[in-house]
Amino acid sequence: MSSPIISVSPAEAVAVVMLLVLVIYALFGGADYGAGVWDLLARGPRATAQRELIAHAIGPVWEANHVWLIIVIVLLFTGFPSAFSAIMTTLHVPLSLMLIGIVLRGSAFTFRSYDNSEVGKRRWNRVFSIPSVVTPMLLGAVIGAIATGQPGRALDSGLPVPLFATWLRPFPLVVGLFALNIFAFLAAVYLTLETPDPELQADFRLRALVAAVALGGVAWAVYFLARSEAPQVFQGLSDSPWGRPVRYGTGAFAVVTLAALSLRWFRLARVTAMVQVALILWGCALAQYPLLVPPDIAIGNSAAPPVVQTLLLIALGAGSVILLPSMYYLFHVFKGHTFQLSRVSTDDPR
Amino acid sequence: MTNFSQAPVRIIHVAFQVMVACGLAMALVSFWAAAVAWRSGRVPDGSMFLSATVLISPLGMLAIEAGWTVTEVGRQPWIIQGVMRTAGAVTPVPGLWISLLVYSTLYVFLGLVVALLLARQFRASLRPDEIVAASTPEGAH
Repeated sequence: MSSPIISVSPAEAVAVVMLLVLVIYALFGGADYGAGVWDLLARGPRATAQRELIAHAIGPVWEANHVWLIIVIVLLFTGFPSAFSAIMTTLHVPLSLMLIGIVLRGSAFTFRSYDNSEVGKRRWNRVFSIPSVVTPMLLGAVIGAIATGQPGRALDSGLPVPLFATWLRPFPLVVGLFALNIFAFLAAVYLTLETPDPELQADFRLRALVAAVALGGVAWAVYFLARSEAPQVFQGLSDSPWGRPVRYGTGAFAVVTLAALSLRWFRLARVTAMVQVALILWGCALAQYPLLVPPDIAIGNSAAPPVVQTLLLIALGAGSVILLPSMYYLFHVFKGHTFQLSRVSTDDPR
Repeated sequence: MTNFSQAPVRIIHVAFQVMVACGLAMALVSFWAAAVAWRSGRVPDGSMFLSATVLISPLGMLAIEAGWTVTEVGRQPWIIQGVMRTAGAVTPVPGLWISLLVYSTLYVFLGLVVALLLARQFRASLRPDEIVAASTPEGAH
């Protein structure tokens, strides 16, 4: 496939939007999960301050970030119903557990503010942070399982729907770990800009560096396992004409992020980290293109009738007019302060 | 040949009457308040009116549930009228009763926690005489 895409069908346009929104979810909502990870792992003399910073950082935006996940799911079941049906039946267990995790996280975060006793705070902290670790692993496991082609093959075989065999395998579980690592990395990078306190900043800078190094290792594990378990993805990443640029681009941005973190250029680190994660996700999606559920279900043969796709695109356009300015305003109000922090300098009086 | 009369009529009938009755009761109390406000310029605060508002407060939820019963029972046995029956739309995933049990337990648990936390908020809140005492400078301590 060497010729450029000249015309894009409505179904392909919806699929591209779906991927774009999924990437936005990972960049914004994923950091909320990652923050929960650091909440669970808060240690040392500033543990309480770290937890408070995390609660303060997620508080205004975590609910709004779920909008992106909902858009992805609605686009999937409206635009590509047979793909949705295949994914939801064969991956029923991890998706249900993910949903329960999201519900528990949300409830715990709310209950924490009403149950002010020490016991209550710790209890709800636990209920918040443990699902924050498990849910990204399940999300990654679902994506990894789809990539292996097991769910698609399970449907074709005509046997009863398997509950665990599709996702309790090495590749999906490693992809789950990868997703968790990505989210924790993003959260740590974002959190360095949320606080003017240089000691807290140093804490999260260290966490971001550790997560970035771990990310490199886990990424290699995913790439290596893909060779045997998800050969399609592996081929896409290594052989196709865009595969090498994406891999090298991801590596380059990873190196720049590490350097920026080391030099305490946190705003640059945030931008390059986001680009790095976006490239990772685009790479995985392009590797599978045009299949939505390997080996058989593609964008073309699972799409709803063209009129549905066209209506979806119109609805997306109309919705964006309200959604995008609102989201911008939300982040401007609550995250605007993260753009004003300069790098830590000893001569800064504040 | 579609047979639309297979849905259980008695349930739908009773549910519909419940929904309308709840709506009428709430509307009546609202009109009562509006009439009193029109004549006296204030929202009524007599004990009979306040008891009435307390009694009708769950009726909104009840009306909603009754309305859902009307639509969801009334559509049976079809999930898409004339096209697909509910039995034909069920997922092939085995062991769905576990899923039902888990979700039900989760939401019962969450409901209990909300009720407990709200009760705690009520108990911790100030009584009317404490509010008055706190708002006057001499009474505050």
